[in-house]
Amino acid sequence: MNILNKLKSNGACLGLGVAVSMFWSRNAAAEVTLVEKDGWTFSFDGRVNAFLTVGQGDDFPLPTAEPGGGMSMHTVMGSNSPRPGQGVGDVGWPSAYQQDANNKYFAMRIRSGMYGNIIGFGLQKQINETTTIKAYVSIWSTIESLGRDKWYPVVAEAREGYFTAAGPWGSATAGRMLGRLGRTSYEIDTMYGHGYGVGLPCTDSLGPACGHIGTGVLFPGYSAGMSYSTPSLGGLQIHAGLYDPIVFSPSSPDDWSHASFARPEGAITFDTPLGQVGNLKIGAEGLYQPLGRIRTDPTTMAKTDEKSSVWGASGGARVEVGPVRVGVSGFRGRGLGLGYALQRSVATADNDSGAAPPGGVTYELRTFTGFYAQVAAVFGALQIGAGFGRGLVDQLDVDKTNSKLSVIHAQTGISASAYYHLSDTVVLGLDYFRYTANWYGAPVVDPATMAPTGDKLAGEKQDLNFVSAGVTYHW
Amino acid sequence: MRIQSSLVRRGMLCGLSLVAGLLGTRPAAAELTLVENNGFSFFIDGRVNVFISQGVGDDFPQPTPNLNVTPTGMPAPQHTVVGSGQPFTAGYSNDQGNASGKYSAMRIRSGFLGSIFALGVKKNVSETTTAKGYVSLWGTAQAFARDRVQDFGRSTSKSFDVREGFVQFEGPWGSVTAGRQNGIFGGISTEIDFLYGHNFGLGLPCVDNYFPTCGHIGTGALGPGTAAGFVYATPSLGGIKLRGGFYDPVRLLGVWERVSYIRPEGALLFEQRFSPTFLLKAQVEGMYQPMAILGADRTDQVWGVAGGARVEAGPVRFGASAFRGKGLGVYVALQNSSSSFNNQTKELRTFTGLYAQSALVFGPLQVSLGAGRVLDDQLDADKVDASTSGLRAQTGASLGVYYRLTDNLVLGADYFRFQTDWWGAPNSTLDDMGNVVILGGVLTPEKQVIHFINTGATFHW
Repeated sequence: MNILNKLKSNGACLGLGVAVSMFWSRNAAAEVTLVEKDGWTFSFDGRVNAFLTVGQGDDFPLPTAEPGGGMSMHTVMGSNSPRPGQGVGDVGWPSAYQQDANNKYFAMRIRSGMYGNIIGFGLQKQINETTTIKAYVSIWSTIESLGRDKWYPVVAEAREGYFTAAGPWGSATAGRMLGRLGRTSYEIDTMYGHGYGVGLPCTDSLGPACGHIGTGVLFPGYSAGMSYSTPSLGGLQIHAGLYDPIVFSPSSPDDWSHASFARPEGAITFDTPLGQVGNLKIGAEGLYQPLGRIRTDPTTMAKTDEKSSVWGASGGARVEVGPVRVGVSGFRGRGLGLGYALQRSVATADNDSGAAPPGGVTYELRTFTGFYAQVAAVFGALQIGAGFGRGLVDQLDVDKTNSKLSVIHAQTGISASAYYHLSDTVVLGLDYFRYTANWYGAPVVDPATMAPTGDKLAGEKQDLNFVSAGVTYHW
Repeated sequence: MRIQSSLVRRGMLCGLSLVAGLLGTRPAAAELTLVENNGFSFFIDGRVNVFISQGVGDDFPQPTPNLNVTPTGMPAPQHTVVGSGQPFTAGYSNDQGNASGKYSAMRIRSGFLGSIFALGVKKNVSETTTAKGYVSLWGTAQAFARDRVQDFGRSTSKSFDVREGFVQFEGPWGSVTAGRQNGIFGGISTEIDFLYGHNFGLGLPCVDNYFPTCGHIGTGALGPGTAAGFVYATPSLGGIKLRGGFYDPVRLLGVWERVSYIRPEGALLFEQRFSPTFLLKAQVEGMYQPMAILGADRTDQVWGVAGGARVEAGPVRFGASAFRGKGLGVYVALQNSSSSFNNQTKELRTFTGLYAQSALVFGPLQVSLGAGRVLDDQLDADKVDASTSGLRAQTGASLGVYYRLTDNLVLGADYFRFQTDWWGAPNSTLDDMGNVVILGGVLTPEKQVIHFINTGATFHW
């Protein structure tokens, strides 16, 4: 939430400066100072929102029929994931038991937006002439309950909990905080896309929603970490930190369950005003995490250590000139996931034992690519925007011969939005999102020899349209 | 909590403060404004409570044995009792019974409302309209199922349940509330229970394992629950108000899964304080939710109507309410439980609830007395289902005594008698081919009676 406020102040306000009366009549609200006493400042920020979302289109696709109309023998990647039912996005968009007899989806929900309900508290004190320390905790929740089960508790999540020491030497942050990889794309989506909207609901079961995340935008995610940012040198800053490592399967030593080292993430950003009417920000980010697993030889049952790593690079730029905002971003990396960095997803690695190729599961990490473009125009209290993004998954060699699995190929999002600031603190929102998922299609094998023929079945496809309207109150 | 606080304000504060001198009553606390800064007003409200609760009575009943024998001498089919092993469905399923089928257990637990910490921010967004953001976090004092391992990191853990999180705009044109908030349907019966019954008590523990308790909910009162929604309320027109809204749809898991449309709920109410010591409120409510079978074209709908009234005259408070509807459930509107539908035919059952509550307020002392019953109609399919004894009724009788030590501290002691009756499985045997033959009549219906005595304290602000 602090990030959100920073974005608001850095982007929405900073870039507008003198032109505020012309193009942006209202400043966004930020934290509210509650108490100042004995050098301490206790502040409060947050938001509450609600949206009506109508979704219509295809439910999760059924496997393409075998040639000659035989029963499908393969799995469509994503259908084997339990996570969407638990409110965590994976690949494709399976509904929470809403498909009709024709496998179509039509459903209304009243739900939280891209940001859920948030309450954040800050406690700040100046500890010497030049250095200030601020502690911050934010609690997130949704308004909808898991899977339309009215009696499932809405569990509060402490997404952020950190303290930052800041001075002329820069700033150091320790605690649970937003990661670095993908931050530029997330920032663009928040500011010009879906900060007050919904976009793509990450899952049918539970929010908060994703905006363009999963369709070109990479969400950095929250982790425990320690990071340092240099002071701004003419707008240039370097950010570097170590974050708590992530594993993909804590239950099986055969999978990538060993992550012995803290994960470095870093970024270089350049943020500068463009005269009196604009702002430019460029960011490049990266991360690296070594992983290990125990490999068991299927013949001798001998165990050996195997190493790999997740790595990612991302970057982008956003510019504000007069009423126009434009942002573009991209990412590429191994083992990242489509939605957020280091995503525990069925697409992350070849680890689906139910779709084991003839040689057995390889656990090889897949490589992901995303790109995203977003535009917006601000006319006084009105902001309109449009965006396009796509996330792509590279096929592994083993995927090209595994007839039991149709691997996700791409997720594409197209969005349009309109937001109206009724006041400093109240924003009405209306947005449209078209989501398309494409799968590679399962390789075809010769039934006699089980050898790949080089052909593949038609790739499965899912198209969904979402329209969301709602209101956000923030402070 | 907002509505409850509102009720506290309107029902207890307004209702009692004017006659405080006469009756010596202390008004209840409500929102506590901490800071007003830059046009923002930041407030909190909440409560913390704990009760010792002793339950004594019958364990969940065993199925009445079917003593018939088949022509070949084989035993006739046996049955299950609805609610067995399914807390919050029918009866009081628990894991504390002894060898004699008796229940005796003591817990230290939260009351009718759990521990609540709520925060709000208000700001005038125009000369006449106020915007308010409000979030309430609920927790309980007790661990899940007496298991401290469950205290952290589980869906049953002691994380806060964010029961409310909404924005509300209020002006002379009425109010619009968007976000997670209380439902409308069942509101009047719960309001009566809250104000005159179990605000500072416990009543029936909904389940032995966990959760804030139920008061009279489940025995005539119907909980509206909380859900994501958009609700509009008109301004009061001579005491008449109309509230209507749409809520996030709810699935009946495993049966009626496909719920494509948001659910309308509404209420028409009349509330008027005719004199400092006389208040009347009457309210009728309704809800409707279409449902469909997953991957099929079969449809049905849950619907309900409810109503009630409460009156305050001098030290006397009295409220009565009723509801009826299809697929509602025993405790809460749109309850996911096997008492709500027939598992084989998927037909929705119809429920009827009746509830009456009285109270006398003498200064800081309130004495409450209540009774209620909820009835679950049998389907035709139930009458020939020899495998199940369905829920027939849950009945509650309660007595409460509450003493306000201060504006914010209330001691409470209450008694609750909980009785559950089942229809009894159809009397049956098997023919030569092993097919079930209904013989007419039913096996002796099962029954469970438990007495709960609860005492504790509530600190609220």
